[in-house]
Order: sequence, then structure tokens, then C-alpha cells
Amino acid sequence: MKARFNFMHFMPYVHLPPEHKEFHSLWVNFPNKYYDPHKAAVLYERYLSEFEYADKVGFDAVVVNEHHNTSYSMMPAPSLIAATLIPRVKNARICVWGTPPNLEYPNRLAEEYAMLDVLSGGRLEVAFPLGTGMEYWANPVNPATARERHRESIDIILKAWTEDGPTSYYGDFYTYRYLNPWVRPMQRPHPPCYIVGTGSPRPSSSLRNWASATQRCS
Amino acid sequence: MFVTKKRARELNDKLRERSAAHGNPVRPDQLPLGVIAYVAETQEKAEAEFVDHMRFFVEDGLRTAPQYLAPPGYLSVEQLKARAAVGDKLHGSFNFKMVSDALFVAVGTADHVANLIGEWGEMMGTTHFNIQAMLGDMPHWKVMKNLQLIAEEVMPRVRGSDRGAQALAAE
Repeated sequence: MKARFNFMHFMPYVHLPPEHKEFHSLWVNFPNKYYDPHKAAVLYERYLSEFEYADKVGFDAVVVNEHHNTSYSMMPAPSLIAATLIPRVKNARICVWGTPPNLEYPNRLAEEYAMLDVLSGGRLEVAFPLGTGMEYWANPVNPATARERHRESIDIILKAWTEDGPTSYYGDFYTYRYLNPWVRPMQRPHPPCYIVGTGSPRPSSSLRNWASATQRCS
Repeated sequence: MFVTKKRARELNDKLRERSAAHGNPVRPDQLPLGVIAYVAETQEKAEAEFVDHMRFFVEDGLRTAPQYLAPPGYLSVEQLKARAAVGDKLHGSFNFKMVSDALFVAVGTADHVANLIGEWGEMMGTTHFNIQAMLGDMPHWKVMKNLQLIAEEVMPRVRGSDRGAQALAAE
């Protein structure tokens, strides 16, 4: 089996002010007055060219992910970066690893990813992170129910991708009388999916619920 | 990427075991491994070019407060206790050797980096590597050079040996 190599980029905002060491955290409450959109525009162009170059020299995939309220990453909306990459990255697979599905409406995320898969000619791969603790200070989702919402969101996305609509879904957090996204992924039954994490045993224990889903990830 | 090698191996082993028990064996390419990699012409040059950017990444990129890492309800009590027990080690002063010994950090010549990636692929049972080739405040020229060296010098070496895949195929 051929080893596969991805190029992952966090797209950091590197122009920190001289006094940044005075701040205990550069996440969540680091003042956004230090963000200069003109410097960020130059960085975006530079980082996009690095993805493009990785594709040219033969990396198999390019990877983007999502963080909020931090200079660590300028990708609060990784699907936008992925859409920007599609015409520039000609051969490599496009990986959005990814948006925490429980921080979005799952039907909209299913649609968004399906659009990216179609636009990229079936090159999309997605991951479903729970999101770091920091993301729950930046988004209005109760961290105590994050895991349950995470499971339910993934169920909905997989259902939207794999079952002919209109169908429906009645969960503890999301209700869909008509789950029937018009845009569906090019890859069948759906783009390859990953569960990403940093060592908590709980995401892996959830995997049994998606045994059929992971089986489909070929 | 932020999990120690020992812990990552335990998790991969457990995942494979559980998946197999549910009748859904995991293929090596389904377990991407995050690796921070930087390649240069010599070991000394690679470290000299790389270490400050990793320092920026660890000390400034990742700098956060414990209460932000674990908002109320985000972790179980058991996980919170386990995390608190190692809290001091999470945000200490940067030590390249300590960090590169604990995590999947491959810095050096193409041979050295390829050997490490091959070895880790074998250990983790994966053929899928998620390479962080740009880290912290690394300038553009270093990223481009690093990408080129990884693509031209490291990837063929790893693919040429593919020890991880061979070991798995032999099982």
C-alpha cells in the first residue's frame, strides 16, 4: 500500500504585537484590535500559494481546519478556504478536517460539504472534530451537551448524504421534518470521513455507533 | 499531533481492537498520523532553522488558559482530574528535546526524517501521514524549501520502504 502524505496548514496570524507576552492566553479573549486585515490579506495569499506548491510537488492532499477567537489560526470558516483552494490545487485531495458539526446546523454543513465535493470533482474529505474547549467560549453551544450534539449531528449528515430524501430526523437537539438537501456529494455513498481528536477515549467509544458509516469510508 | 507517542499508540490499538470487535476492521490508511516535519541538508542546519518556529508555535500559538481548555461540562470529572494532574507540563517553558521526544516531531536530514516516519508508521499501524510542514512563524522560503525536500527526498524514501504496510500485510 502506497504511503499517503498530506500537507496541513493552520494559517496562523503571525504579526503579534510586542506586548503579546503580557497576555496569559492568545485564545478566546486576546483582543482582536491586534488583527490587521491588510496584513492578513498578505498572509492569506502567501499561505494559499504554499498549498498550491504542495500540490505541485506531489503531496496527496491538503488539509485545513477550524478554530475561533485566536491568532493561532485564520480559518474560522475552513470551507471558504477549501473553496478557494479548489481551482488552485489541481490534483491533491481537499481535506476539511474540519468544522465541529455540533457548532453548525448539520443540514447546512451536509450541504456545504456536498457543494465542495461537487465543485472539486469528488476530491473532498471531511473530519468531524468535537472542537477544543476554547471553541465553546466562542460559540453559543453548551459544552456539557457537546458530545451528544456531536453524535447527533454526524448521524444527520450521514443520513442526509446516504438516504434518498425527503426523509426526516427527530433527535434530542435537532428536528427535521424534511431532511432533503438538493445538493448531494459526488462521491458515493459520501466523501471519506474521519473522527479527529486529541486523546480522549470518548470519541473512539462513539465509533461503534457509526460502524456502518466508517465501513463506508473507502 | 498533540498526543504523546505512547498514548497515541494505545489509542490506535484500542480503536483497532474495538472496530474489529464490531466487525469493521480499520485499514492503515484510515488512521492518519499527525507529524511535524522539517528537513534540511544537515541535522544541525535543520534544527537551527526550525527550533525557533516551534518555540513560537508552542509558547505563543498554543498559549491558552486552563479554564479555556476545559469549559464547565466539557470534560468528565475523571478526565478533568487526569488533565489537571499533568497541567504543569502542558504550559511550561519550551524544551525542544522534550517536545520532540514526546510527540511526533521529525527534524533533520531527509534520511533521518524518512526513517522516523517509517518507524512511526510501523509503530502506529498507518500508511497515512498528515504533515505539518509549516509551523508557527516560519517564513515563506523555509516552507517552500521544506515542502520540496519532503516531496523529493522523504516521500520516495518512505514509499520505497513502506515498512508499516509490509508489517501489517505480514500479520
